[in-house]
Amino acid sequence: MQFVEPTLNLSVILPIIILTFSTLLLMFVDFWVPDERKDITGWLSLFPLGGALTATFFQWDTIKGAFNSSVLQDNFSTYLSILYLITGMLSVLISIGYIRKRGHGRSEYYFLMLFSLVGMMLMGMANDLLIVFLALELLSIPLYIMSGFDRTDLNSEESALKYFLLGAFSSGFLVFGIALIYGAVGSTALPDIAEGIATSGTVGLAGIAMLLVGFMFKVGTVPFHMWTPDVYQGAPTSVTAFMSVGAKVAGFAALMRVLISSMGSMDEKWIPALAVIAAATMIVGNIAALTQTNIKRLLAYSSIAHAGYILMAVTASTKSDDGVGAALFYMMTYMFTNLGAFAAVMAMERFSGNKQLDLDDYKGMGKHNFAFAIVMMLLMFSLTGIPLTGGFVGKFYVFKTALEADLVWLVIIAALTSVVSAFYYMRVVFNMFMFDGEIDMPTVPNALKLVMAVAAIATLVLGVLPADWYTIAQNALMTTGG
Amino acid sequence: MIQAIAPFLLIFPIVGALINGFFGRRIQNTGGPNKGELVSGWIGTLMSFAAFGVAIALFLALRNDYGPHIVTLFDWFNVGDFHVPWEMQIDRLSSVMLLVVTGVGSLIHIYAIGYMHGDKNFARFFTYLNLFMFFMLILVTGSSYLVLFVGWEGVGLASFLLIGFWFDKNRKIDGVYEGVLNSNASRKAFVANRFGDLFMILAMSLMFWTFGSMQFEEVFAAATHGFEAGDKSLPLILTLITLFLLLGATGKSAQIPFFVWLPDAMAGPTPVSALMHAATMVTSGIYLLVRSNVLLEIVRESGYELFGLVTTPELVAMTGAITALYAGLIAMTQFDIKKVLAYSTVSQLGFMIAAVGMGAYVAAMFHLVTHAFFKALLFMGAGSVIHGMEHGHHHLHDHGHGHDDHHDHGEADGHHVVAAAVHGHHDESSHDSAVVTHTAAAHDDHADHHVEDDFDPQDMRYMGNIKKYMPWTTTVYIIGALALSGIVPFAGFWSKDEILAHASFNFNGGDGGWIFRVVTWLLTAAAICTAFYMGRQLKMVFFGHERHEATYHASESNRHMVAPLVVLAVLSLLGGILNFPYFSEADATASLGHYAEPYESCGDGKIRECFSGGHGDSHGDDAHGDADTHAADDSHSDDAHAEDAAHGDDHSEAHDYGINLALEHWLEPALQSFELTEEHIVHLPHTAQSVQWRVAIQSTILAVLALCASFFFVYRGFNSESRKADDIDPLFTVPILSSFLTGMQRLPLDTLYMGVLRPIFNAFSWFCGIILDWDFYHDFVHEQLIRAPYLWFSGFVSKTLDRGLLDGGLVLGVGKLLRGFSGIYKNFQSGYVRNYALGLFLGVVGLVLYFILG
Repeated sequence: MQFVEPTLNLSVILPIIILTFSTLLLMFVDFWVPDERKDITGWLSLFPLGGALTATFFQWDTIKGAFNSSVLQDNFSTYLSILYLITGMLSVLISIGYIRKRGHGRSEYYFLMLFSLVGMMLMGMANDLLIVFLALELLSIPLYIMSGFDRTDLNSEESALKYFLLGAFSSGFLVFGIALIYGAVGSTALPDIAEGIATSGTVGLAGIAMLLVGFMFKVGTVPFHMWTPDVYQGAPTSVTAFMSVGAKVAGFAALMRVLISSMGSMDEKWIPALAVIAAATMIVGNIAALTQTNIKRLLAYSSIAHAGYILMAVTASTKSDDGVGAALFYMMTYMFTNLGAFAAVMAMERFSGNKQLDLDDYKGMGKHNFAFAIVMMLLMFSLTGIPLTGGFVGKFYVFKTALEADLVWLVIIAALTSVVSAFYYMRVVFNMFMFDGEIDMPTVPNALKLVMAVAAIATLVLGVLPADWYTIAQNALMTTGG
Repeated sequence: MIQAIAPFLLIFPIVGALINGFFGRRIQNTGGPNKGELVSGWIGTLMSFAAFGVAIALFLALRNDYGPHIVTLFDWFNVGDFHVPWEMQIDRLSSVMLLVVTGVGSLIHIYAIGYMHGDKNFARFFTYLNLFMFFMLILVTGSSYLVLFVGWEGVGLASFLLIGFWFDKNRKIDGVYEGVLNSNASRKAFVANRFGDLFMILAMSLMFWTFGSMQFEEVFAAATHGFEAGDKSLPLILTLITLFLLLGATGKSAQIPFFVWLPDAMAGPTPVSALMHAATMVTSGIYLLVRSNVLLEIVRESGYELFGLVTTPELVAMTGAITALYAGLIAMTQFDIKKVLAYSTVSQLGFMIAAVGMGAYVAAMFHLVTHAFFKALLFMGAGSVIHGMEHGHHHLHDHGHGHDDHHDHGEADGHHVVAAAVHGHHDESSHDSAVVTHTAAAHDDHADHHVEDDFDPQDMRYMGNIKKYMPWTTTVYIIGALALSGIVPFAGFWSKDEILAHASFNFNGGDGGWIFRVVTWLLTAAAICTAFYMGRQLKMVFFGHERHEATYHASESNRHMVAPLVVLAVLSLLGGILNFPYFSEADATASLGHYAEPYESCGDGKIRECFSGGHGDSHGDDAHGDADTHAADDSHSDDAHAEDAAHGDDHSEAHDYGINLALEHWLEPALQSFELTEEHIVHLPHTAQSVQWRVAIQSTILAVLALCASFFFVYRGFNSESRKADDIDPLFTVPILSSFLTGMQRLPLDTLYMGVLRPIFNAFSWFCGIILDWDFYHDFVHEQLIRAPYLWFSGFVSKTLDRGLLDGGLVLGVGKLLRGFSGIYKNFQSGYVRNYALGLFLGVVGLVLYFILG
């Protein structure tokens, strides 16, 4: 036996360290913030995020392993960390006024969000199944609490409980999968698995299946999606927005890392499974969205559908050079567009009486508040995938990469379902511009306006001049070694 | 120079749209409501004219130069070695489209200033118009299918916005607010176009998958190369691509099966109908197919038959010809002045599509240009008539009722202020206040009021003898109608005759096959219909006696509206010069050198050089010797004269030498099929060089007969003043004829969709036909046969499959299904989490089984 001294490359997790410790510091500072002015904590929580973001930027183009290569820093993880941190900032901004007005202006909300972000960042870096599991729980548990943050609202409680129960259930499968793979290969490190998995037999195969279940649950693909509409609808809208982007992207991050770097040799096996799941997800998500009348539920089904498109790129990622880049680029457009759309929903939402979450509540918006309606229209166009918006470019690359991987039937389904999606997204637009109606819009906080503006501008920039951004996404390659 | 000025084509319209979009309302209402509307309108118009100026400059630059010039604006996509730069392709084909779009578009802008006068959303209208111009110019200048598609979607958006422009109209028609009908119409156009777009996406995907590019030049080069190399799978792939392109074109250019949106699109303001739904946007499908001529010709050459039946070019020809006749028949039975023109547009687009399918690309473009002239003229003339009728009705209304509800009334009609402003019955300020302060109460009051008076200013049955009241409009309208009917010497005669001549020339003398024969018959019949329904419209609107009191008070429209009409009338009269055929084969031979072949006119036996010069760099024509280029240059410069004359810039008399087939000479270098035919790679069907006297005389006689017949039969006996609008057209009371006419009104039932299914659907369709209008029987098909099962299916998936089977699990599936329908979805108890978990578990079982066993 020979003891190898572990390499502790702390610079790798520097952003995580900054985020964790400054959040802990913020918890102390929060003691001195008076209860009725907890907004201040919200604004302050932008500093940990900004600090972590700055540190992350400096990590670009360096590849390092830490903790015996169980944590890995490469452009893939750096790109994703940047996405999470931007998501975090935008989510904090949309939450500040919202949480207060809902009567729960408590600062735990922000701490939970920041800790969940730590988990997400770790998801992208994990190079060992145990770290994956650790990160997954670290990201999930705060989300369970945040879904139920609106304690007085039964829907919110129901949402939290459902999310927790089913989340725990699926985590069980994930752990089981890790155990089986460990049993088959003798290691949980991804490079070791890459070597041993091809000859691991039935046990290893069952392990892969179980592992997939854990990730599929997080990203919400059919048939592991059933929690999504209920949870998204019940949770406070700011949490829904955060969850629909952050948790989903994190799930895909781990899925891609595990599949490509450790199970690339098995791709003949998992490509058909993922392709069928992607097809089913796109079909169910888009078609079920058609009959929704509640906008949060509609966006929930829409997020299921988008998971299908991302999964399509993941499916193609071993056969096409651009698979990972296409998925990462899609996530970037999806992040801005979806956060913007939820911000728009929050701008309309009320907390008593008619909550103003029905599609009909948007009737006449074009006349009442033209700027709002235009931004909402732009975001709906982007979600549909109409040219000159980021959504179109994202879909374009995803379709292209799938074509390169010879998944022609999947592209046809994707094209058909994206036509279907026009029907329900356009219903929002039609309601705003083609109908008259009484709009009773609350005053919109400036932070919310800012997020909508950022989302709209980013959507346009990504749609009109995507070349440079796509190059960045393409360069966000993952490494397999340590 | 081309590189420097081409971007301004796009810059001018978008700048106009931005100015009017951001500051338009302020400009419009400077110094009082709508006081500044002229400024706002002229900003939009001048931007359009500026783009026209650029188009002329490009045209002049292309005279001695074959193009194509690629102007790179910026890098759009950059994926490894795959680049999609945002490029404009300026060549002779796009320059023709540019001149039509910006030239006719500018005239329509001027007209719109008059037409929209007093509309409270005046600036918004011009924003949309300029936005449309911007996207249309992207469409025609794009150098790849992808850029073209951006414009394609953009014009769809502009069309959607403009059809529903009056979505707030509060007049009630059959108990439904007109605004709702308008927005429904716009939605229908949008959805129908999305179906077409789906096929565009498929075509592009397939193209990219096969050739690795969507650039026009690269795709055509790769296709030609592959075909020469004898690639076995290429014919099938190109057949599919061209089929998808055809289906894409049927959406945008309103052909069977996606034409249903165009008649509804008449809900938009009339300048929109003239600009987008007659002259420009709907022709983009034809442009797309002409642009793809290489692909079509390769398919024709390969002889690959779809399902072993027809090749795609033949399918294109048949689609166009059937649509032409079909829409022509429906047009005869319409009573709405604009819907007659709408169906007529569908029919004429059918002519163009048929021409494309027969390989007569030049003839298709020729008809596209002349059609843009006279159809824009007819639409705007119809708008002028509607304006006049509305004014007459207001006038009547005021005096008849004696109380001042004029503002509310007019507001709902959209342009009451015109009437007032022109005639000064009311002081401006009271109108302005009505514009600004109209309230829901006023609307309701007005809506009630209208129920008792169902006067429709667009219904031809209320018109009659307009010629007495609107002399200018009448004169230009008759010119437009004669041009459309194909009467010598108006523009429509020459372009339509070229298509018919091509068809008959190829089945008589060529090897065109049975398709050409059928197409000839169909198009000839469609041409007869054209003359008949235009004659019918002329008689009902302008001649005979007044049938409604409003007519007595109709008055000529304002200068902004009449001036563009006159310009277009001149163009409709002289447009035939663009591609004047030779009078005999001998002339053609003499003029074109040794060659009487239609496309070998570039020079004396030096065609290859001529073409290669065109396809090389832009300065390649230096290579031509003087002698070689003599003929070509002359014809091009004369061509320029013809174009200039046609656009009203230069009325100098055209040369008597070289004027013939000017458009054909102009377009040859841009249509690679001509070159490929030279190389014997494909065989483009020949177009006759000279007038085909038999065809020309035959079609002229038929058209004149049909015109005379319509004047003789339609509203026969209505020349007595005692007859009123409500009386039925006596033509419909003649025993045998009436059943024929009624049959035509119901025609869609008996043809096409329902031909086979009729026995089964007869009972059902009778029921639906009572509720829905017969004329729009297609709506039934689209609503009930496509949309309803679709909704049912989506409901089934979301309510039953998703909520019931999956959410409810298999255990509680049935109970859940029933409850799912009752819509109590929020009454979930924790028990249902168990079912979610069950679903999840089943998923796990499935995946594990697949991985272990599969």
